[in-house]
Amino acid sequence: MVFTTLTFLLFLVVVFIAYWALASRSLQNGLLLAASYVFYAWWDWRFCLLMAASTLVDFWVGQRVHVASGRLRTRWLWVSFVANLGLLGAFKYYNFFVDSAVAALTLIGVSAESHTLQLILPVGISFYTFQTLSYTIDIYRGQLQPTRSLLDYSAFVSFFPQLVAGPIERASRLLPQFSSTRSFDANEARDGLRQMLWGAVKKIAVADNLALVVNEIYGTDEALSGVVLLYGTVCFAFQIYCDFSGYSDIAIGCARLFGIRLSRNFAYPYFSQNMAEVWRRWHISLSTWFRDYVYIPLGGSRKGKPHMAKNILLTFLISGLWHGASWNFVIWGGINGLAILPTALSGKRGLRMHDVPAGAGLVPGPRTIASILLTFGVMCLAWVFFRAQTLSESVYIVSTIVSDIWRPSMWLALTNAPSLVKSTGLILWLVALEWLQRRHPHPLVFSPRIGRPIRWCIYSLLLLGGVMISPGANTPFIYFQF
Amino acid sequence: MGTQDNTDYEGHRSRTKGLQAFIRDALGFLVLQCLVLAAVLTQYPVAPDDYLSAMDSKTSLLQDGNGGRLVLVGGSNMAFGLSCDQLRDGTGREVVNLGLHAGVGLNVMLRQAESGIGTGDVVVVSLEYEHFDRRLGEELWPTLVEHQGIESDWLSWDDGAALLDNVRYYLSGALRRTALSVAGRYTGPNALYRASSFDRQGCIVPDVLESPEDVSSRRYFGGSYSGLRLNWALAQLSHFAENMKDKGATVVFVHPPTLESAYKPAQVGLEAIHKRLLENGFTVLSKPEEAVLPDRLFYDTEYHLGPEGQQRRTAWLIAHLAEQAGLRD
Repeated sequence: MVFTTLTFLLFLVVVFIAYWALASRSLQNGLLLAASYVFYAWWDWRFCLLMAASTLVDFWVGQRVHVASGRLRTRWLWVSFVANLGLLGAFKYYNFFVDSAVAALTLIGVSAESHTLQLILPVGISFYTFQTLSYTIDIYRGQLQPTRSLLDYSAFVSFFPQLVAGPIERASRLLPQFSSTRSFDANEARDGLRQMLWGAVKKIAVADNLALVVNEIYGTDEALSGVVLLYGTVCFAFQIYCDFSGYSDIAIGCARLFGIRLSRNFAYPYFSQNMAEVWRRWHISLSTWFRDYVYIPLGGSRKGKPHMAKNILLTFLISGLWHGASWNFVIWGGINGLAILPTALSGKRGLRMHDVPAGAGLVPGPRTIASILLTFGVMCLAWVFFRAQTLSESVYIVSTIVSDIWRPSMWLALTNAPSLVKSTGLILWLVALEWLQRRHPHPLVFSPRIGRPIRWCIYSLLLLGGVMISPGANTPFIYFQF
Repeated sequence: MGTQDNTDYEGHRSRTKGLQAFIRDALGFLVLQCLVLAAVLTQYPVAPDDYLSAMDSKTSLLQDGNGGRLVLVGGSNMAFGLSCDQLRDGTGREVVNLGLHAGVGLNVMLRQAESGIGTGDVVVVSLEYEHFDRRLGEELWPTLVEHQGIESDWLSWDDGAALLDNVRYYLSGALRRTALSVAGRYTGPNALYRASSFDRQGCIVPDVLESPEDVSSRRYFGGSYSGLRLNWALAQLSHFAENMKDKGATVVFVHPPTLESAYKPAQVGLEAIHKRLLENGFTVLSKPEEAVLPDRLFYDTEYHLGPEGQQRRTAWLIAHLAEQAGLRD
């Protein structure tokens, strides 16, 4: 079931009404659990068993970790690691590691046969395994008491708004919300709907239209000018942002309808002035997960700058691999890690997630603009590796861009680029709107002075306009594949 | 205790009020959207000569006739791939070409054919390969409904879910067409894809095929083949073949015309489909490679032939029907 379909909307209405009609918290959790499994089974019911198994293992291991002491405690934690990372390894990474090992052996002259498996990657597996891992790790660290309610825990793991593409929630933040009584807050619900609307518009109007351009440019066999490839890459940067942040906005808005607060996942990342700031604003739930569960356990910044640099790089390489089982994603992670180092090692604090990006002024200074553009350029360089199918294709695209953008004649090729006016218009519209509203968690937050008739006109224009310009083909959310 | 109860009661009442107000607002907004949509769509331009409106006339042609005919079932590879006159002259049978568009989906195609098959009919099925690879259909159903070219019992519950999933696309298309119409820029169906481009038997009139396009970059299943949809399609075809047998009709399969330049990248997938068709007991008149034709014989897609290609494929079909299905040459 995809968020941007009428099927999901009807499902949501039914669950919403039933949820608030129920008198007790347990019944509400039971309903959310059932609804979440229906939502997940819509893709493939068999994978519900996998999620249920992961839930049961971590619920049980959580109890064991809590009561055990000494080395036994650590062993129980390893059970959780092996179970969750084993699932990920089998479904997501097995073929990658086998193929890479065979390639490495061939390189040193040893012939080996590749025995890969034809497995379908269960949707959302990377997200819910990380969420359940956070539960056992937090208990191990003494930061969380294990829940005694399997129902609460199962509802926490499978909560449908964020099940298949996050935000990845910490048990210590989300689980207590399932263990306490929720009350309906009309203002929260209204703002939740607005956030959902904004997420849907980003996805169907911007991301899906840009996807057509990106697929055409990245999918062609023809030799394209570097300027057209650059245009395709910029389009991809906005496609993936609108696709993923759109999904997150719908998920967060949807959860608010049920009185549940999810973490913010995006905070206007393309207005960042350096790469360290980008990662405080982009996929925040994943970057903080890696910070807390990988970077800090590795030693963080505790043992001096060389160790800090090594830990940052390692964390980003693993983060790249989390996105997908290919060397392209590892390199994508590596580029991001390297790009963060100058700021991270300088020790400057920089802007945080909740700070207004690029300052509060309407018009930024030239230095701010230059920093934003430079940071965006580095992100685009990394996006090439994220989007291209192979390493050689990525290298070809980067080298063609670098060699062509200095030649004015090459810019003429841009006039033949697909949907240039439409794509540029959509990107500029998005940037302008987000810039003007960047103090708010999402742009559809209006001053109370703006009356309901005007607000409703704006919502209607966004909704019907978004539907009208959305392309007539189904483009799945990009992060479903992870 | 009494004070606590009162506070809880007041809290509950205020929450219920808040919920009611929220639902009222949400419903109000929804009704507003429906009204705006309805108002906008009153300007929707119906195109009477739309390509898909031919489905209704093709179904009538099938249902009005008697048995003993040659009935062609498939997507546009049938519409653009054969000459009806040549087939009729070569087989001595009346021809009913139901071929229209792969996008109507396998289920609808087969139900349409079942609605009028008679005793002694020979049914030639030729399916675009994408039917074996992914779900097709839901994109075109609203247009078929608009032209009364589809009957409700041709759709299953599963199709209903697909329809719901696609409502946004239907609205998107309808709104765009309305906007073009209001702006005076809607020109109707293009010159080729019109219901009036079909002859009386359901084949495309060669006269309209004036401007062939370069199709050499076209590929089948985008170059890869997943095989996930194959079992579903084979089950549908088996069910159809049994129904036809009960009605006293004969069913044979032929592969669609295949671009020479696109055959190699798709060969493994196409051969896998062929193998499974044979394993399921279907009579297949050819191997996939026998359906390969030079690129120059194609018209505008990887399944549409120009006049010369149509003649070659028709002659080939007549010969194979005589040889393997017992129809006279």
